[in-house]
Amino acid sequence: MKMRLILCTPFLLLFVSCFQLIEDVTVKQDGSGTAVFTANLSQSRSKLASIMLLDSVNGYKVPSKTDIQNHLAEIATELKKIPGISNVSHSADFDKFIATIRFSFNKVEDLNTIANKLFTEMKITSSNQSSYAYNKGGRTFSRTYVYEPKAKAEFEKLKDADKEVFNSATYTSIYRFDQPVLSQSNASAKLAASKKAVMMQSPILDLITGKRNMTNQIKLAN
Amino acid sequence: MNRFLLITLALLITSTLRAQDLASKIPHDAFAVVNIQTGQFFKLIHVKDFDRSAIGKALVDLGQKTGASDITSVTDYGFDLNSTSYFWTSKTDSITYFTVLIPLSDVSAFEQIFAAEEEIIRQGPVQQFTKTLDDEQVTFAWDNRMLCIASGSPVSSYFENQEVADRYGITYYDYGNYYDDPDTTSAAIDSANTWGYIDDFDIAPPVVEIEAAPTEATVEAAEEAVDSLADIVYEDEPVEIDSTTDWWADTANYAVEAASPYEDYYTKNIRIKDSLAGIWAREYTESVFNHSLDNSILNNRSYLRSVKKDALITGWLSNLEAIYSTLLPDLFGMRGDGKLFSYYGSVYAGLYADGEGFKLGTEMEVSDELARSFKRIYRPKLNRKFLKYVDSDRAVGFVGLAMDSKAYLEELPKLMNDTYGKIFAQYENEISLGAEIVSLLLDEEAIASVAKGDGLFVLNGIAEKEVTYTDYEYDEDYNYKEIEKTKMETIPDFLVMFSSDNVNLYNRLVSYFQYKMLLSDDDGIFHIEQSELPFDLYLYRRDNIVFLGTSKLEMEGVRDNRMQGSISKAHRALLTKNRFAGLMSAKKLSEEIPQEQLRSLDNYIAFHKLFGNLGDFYFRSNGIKGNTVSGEFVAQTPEGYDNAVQYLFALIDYAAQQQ
Repeated sequence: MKMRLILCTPFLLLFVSCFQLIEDVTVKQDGSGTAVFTANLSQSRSKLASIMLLDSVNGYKVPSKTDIQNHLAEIATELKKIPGISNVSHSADFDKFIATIRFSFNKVEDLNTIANKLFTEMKITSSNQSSYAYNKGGRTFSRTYVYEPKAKAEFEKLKDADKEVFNSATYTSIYRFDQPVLSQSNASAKLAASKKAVMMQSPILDLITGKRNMTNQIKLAN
Repeated sequence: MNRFLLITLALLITSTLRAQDLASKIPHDAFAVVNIQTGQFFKLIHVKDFDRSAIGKALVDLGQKTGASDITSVTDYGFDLNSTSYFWTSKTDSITYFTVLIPLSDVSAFEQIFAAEEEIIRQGPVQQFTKTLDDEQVTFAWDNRMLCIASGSPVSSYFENQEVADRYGITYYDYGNYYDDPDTTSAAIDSANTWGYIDDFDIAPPVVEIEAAPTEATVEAAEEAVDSLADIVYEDEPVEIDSTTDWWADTANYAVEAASPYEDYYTKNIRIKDSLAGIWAREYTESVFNHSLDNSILNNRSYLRSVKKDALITGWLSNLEAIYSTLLPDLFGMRGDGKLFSYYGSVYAGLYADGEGFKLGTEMEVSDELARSFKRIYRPKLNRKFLKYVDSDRAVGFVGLAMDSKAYLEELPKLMNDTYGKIFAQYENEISLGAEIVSLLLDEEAIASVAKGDGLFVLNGIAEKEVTYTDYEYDEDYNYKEIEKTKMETIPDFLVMFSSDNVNLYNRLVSYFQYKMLLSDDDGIFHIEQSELPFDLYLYRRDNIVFLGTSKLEMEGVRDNRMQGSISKAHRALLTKNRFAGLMSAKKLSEEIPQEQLRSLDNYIAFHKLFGNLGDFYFRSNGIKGNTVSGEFVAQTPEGYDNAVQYLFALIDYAAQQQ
């Protein structure tokens, strides 16, 4: 999902030389939990600060602080309307260029509702079956990531200079639980010392090109 | 220059032109003319060298692909490369003509390559064929001396007239009366039925001077065109309309039925107009061959002034208004009675190539009124004290401007009012009042004492600066916290100077911004406290000059009077002899770009190959002389090449090899 969002956001594409996306999801035993999504563009802050002094660059309108804040507020408002989603808050730090959105969910599947809604809002027709699932009885958390060839096709259309933007961009996912993890299926993922968190870090380029898969089946203790 | 000298000069140029080339075939009412002086081009690069270049080889290959296997050089196409080719545009009330005239040196070579497969019509010494290119009928006509290529674009407004539309079988909807006429649909259909009389249509161009009487071939061509138009008419059966249908009650039905005939008529209208344009363009080519010298552009002094013997290409536009009235008629319609267009007269441009480099020179004539304003505005020269702070060895580029801000502020409201007041006629009073109020509110003299209107921007290089950014540190349970890291970034290192006489106001402004915590004082040098700026910015004032720069070290040098820049003679002349001038050294810029920015070896080599040898780029304008505003852009040729054309072809060859 995130790959498509990035590819459809010219602002990020054109002006950022390095960025990080962090997905931090905490799942309680009953399937409810909290999620924090962070976009850290801090490594490009000088460039972004310069660009934001302009109205447009290369024909692209440069959004103002207010535009970005309004857009984040709109996303937050939309999230609040989704059944099962609560405690929505967001922040945008224009000194560090870090934006965060956080919320609570009643069940893990609510995350899929959010993903689908975002696709609809952005008029993206996706065949992506990437999803989150939690089996309360079996105590299994699943993160399914299906490689999206369309994303790679879109990426290939970019100019070489724009492709370079992704060279050092990273995606980090952290899934936290209140019970220890018994097993997990993705060899690239790491287990925390407490055994209650699983983290995976990947260059975004590897996800776009399908070199790396984020799919993970995490089995939890009862 | 007095009138006698001007006329003598014009006659000299004219006699040169008359003796040698085809400009006499260009009508006097052409509003834009481009001279392509291939003779000058091949003086700068030998034909053999051109043939060996990537472009030359591509042109030869193209000829060979068309079946002319004996082509080994661009000279084999039959064009006279030592003479000038022309492109011009002229307009009547019904059509805009676009014409190219190319001198021929070997007509049989031309015919073999370009005309062998065409259906040629011979008409005395002139032969011609018509081809459809990009949906446009283009006529190619030639004799032993020249090739004329012409096409036409119909002027829509001419056909928006019932009588004209009827004459050519065009269905005309008068949208102005559309809703007043309850029987519009029937009227349209009736009009469609009149297409049966297409054989009677007049196909002569409405307003075009053709000196020779229509020849037999022209009449035949016209008859063929009429037949083709008639075919268009009979292709589609007229739509049957039930006159008792209640169109307005059944809107859905109405929409379907009405849309279909409109689309038919619209397509047909376009086809008829395009066919007419093709016929008229064909006749126009004949007029070109028969054109007399007396009615040629060579009697136009303004055009003659644009002709420069040593240019590769020159362009002349009779007046700026012509662009809008011909090429952007919709925009032109908005002008009302404003003076936006009437301020500007003829425009000239010339591209030159010589030992120094490529030069693009432009000139524009302006009205007496605008000339008076410009002369007031661009009266002063650049403050020579600025030059003390320019080091030519170090500077990557600079831009200098000298104008009188007081005169500018006084002239601007008047110009704005004259220009825009009539364009937005409904707000004319408000614009006029606004201009008056602005003029009253501004104390031009006081503003001019703070910023006199001359300034100089000097880019001294690209510096590396350590910047901080936020990253994350993860503990063993993947809880993370923000940490600050550093990295090196490139930032521009520049110095801006502008003259300012009013020290009291400067001091008050500085005090105010200090109070607002936007400025901090560091031993007389003020640091601008603006975290959003990607670089540090310092402010200092001395000798009635305000300095704004990124380097604190340099600003300290200014404060302590330690700055002793050494400006080269050429740079000094460029800045002091012009009202507006700038320079950029591509070579120095390429040296300044940090190597890590050119990540791959290929990028590094290509960048330095392309830009490392490049000369300086500069532009200059000396404001206004008489009623003419002029400007020049120069791209200097690097060492090792005789002239700019040779360097350009070397670059193209290099780029082609990299493909």
